[in-house]
Amino acid sequence: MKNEMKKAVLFILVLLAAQAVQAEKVLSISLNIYKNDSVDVNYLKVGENRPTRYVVDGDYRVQLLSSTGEVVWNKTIQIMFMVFTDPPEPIDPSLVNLEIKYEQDMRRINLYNKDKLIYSQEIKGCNLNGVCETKYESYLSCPADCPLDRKDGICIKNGDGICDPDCLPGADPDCAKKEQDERGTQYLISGLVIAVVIAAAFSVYNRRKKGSGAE
Amino acid sequence: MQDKKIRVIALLAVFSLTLVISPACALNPEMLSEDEYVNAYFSIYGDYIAGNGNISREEIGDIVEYYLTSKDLAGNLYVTGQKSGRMIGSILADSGVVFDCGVCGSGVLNSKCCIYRAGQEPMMYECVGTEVRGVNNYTWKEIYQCTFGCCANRCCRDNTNATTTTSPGTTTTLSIPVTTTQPAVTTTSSTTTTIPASTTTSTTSTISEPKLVVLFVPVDWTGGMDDFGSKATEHANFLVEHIPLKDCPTQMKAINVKVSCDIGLPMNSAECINNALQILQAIGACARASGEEYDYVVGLTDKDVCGATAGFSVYGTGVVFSESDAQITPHELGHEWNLVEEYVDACRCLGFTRADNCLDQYIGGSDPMLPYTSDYCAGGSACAGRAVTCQGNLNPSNGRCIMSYADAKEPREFCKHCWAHLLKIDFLTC
Repeated sequence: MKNEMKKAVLFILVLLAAQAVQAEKVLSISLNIYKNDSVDVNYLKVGENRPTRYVVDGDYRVQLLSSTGEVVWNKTIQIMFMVFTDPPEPIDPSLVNLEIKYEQDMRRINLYNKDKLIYSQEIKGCNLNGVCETKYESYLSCPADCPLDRKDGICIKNGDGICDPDCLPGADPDCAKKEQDERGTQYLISGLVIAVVIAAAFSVYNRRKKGSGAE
Repeated sequence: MQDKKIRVIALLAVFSLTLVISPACALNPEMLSEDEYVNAYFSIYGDYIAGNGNISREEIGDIVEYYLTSKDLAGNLYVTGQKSGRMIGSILADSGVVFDCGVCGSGVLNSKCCIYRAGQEPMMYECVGTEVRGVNNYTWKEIYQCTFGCCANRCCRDNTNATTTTSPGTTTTLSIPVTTTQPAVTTTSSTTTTIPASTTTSTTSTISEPKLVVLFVPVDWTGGMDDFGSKATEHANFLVEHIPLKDCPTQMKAINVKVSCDIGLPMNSAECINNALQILQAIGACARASGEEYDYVVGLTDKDVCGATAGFSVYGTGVVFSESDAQITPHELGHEWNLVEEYVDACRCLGFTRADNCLDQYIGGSDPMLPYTSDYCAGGSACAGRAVTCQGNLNPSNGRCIMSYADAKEPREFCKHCWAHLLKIDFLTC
């Protein structure tokens, strides 16, 4: 009966894992914005997370355009050049992170300060050049350039048999399995090496013994 | 020692007798119905709680252990029965641990529950919705079991309104304790301490995604992960109890990362603030490396870093940093939700003219911090830059608003203006 309970719990966990696998794709945007309107991109790539649901209206506007130039996402946001602490301190640059529900046809991001375009960037997604450009590409948009076993800044931890090097220790169960396998292989190799050394030593000893017997 | 054995045997006899005289009973425990077992158990346990017959906690444990280990009765009962949600879930087969509803030692039904373990101090925990709070490092089995001993927002001894499941696939109202720490499975990097993200196979239930998911990340954490779990739980509980989701707390899910995010926090306030963006970015990177999905990230540390700074945030990042007491988390998240500081007349002196929680002289907003005067606060005309000049608005419990400074007068709650603002944010309301 205890086994049944374990099975039940495992079933539940499998359901949860299945749910996690179906996580929502988002366009993850992280930008450093300076008071002088220059912008640095930290990343602009497809990830998996919950979409940002709360932004305050302000002077800045983020726009996402499709391949035909159609605006598919548009929101005004507030950027505060201030760290909230005791007391609040001014900062420059400020940082904005947004997670926007991803649509295949999102091709360009524009950022305006009031009506002035201060940043425009193609959403690359994938350029198939064999290099994982971690600012713009991820396994989710470009598995060819960013296979799961290569770093792309996004941890995908669920049951694919591949250890994702982006995950924290313990986050991806596949990494534990990989570690175990590697350890097993190491033990096997060490064992073989020791066996070969012993055999060689034994063989040398026997030859010497025979040699000294012949004299 | 001999006396103790005799007492245990006597108690076992009484327990068996209780079973015998209960209707449709059987002497063989394996033949017992759940009702019979539960009634018999509580007959004895009721005496223990009431202090009748001088029954000790250890003796109760012995009784439980005897029946459970000798006949594997618990396995039969608490897995398969139709009423598994009853306090049959109070009995653990493996360890002789006893759960009960009510504050430790009282047995009065409320949201508090107690765990009695032989040789240890009773430990209080709490049922909020189907969630167990206040216990850390419990195996999946214990949490599973304990959760099934909860009704909505309180512990329960019967299955009225209880969240029960009979078997996978026939779930009625299933909220699953999402714990990723399981025995015999490699430790994972995170554990969910607050429930919902549930799934269901039922067509009748209406379980949705939680409205708010907060990821707690240990930052340069020097203590054990158990300590972190406790601290994160404390912060999560305080948070959900002080936002409009308090009326449906299972709509908030808190996830704890279980590996320290070592970023080398600076030791003084100035360096902290100068590097605030980098710190928040590093915490955000750790959050992404957890593989979890979340709305907000709270970085917590147990080190005394950043000097006098108890926490900080930069609006729009979705990441906040907190070093100290539990009220810091809703304060910093309050900024993410567009609330401004109340230890300074931010609307007048810092330019936040459109903020909803300006200092209000009718609810204490003109009370100054010495050596400043009320002229620096609500209704005044003086400003002192960004200095801490005011006490903040009073909250409905006559303490100061959470958006005031860290050590302001308790009890800490949001003031009515903050509350009205939070009520406008759809994912913070039930």
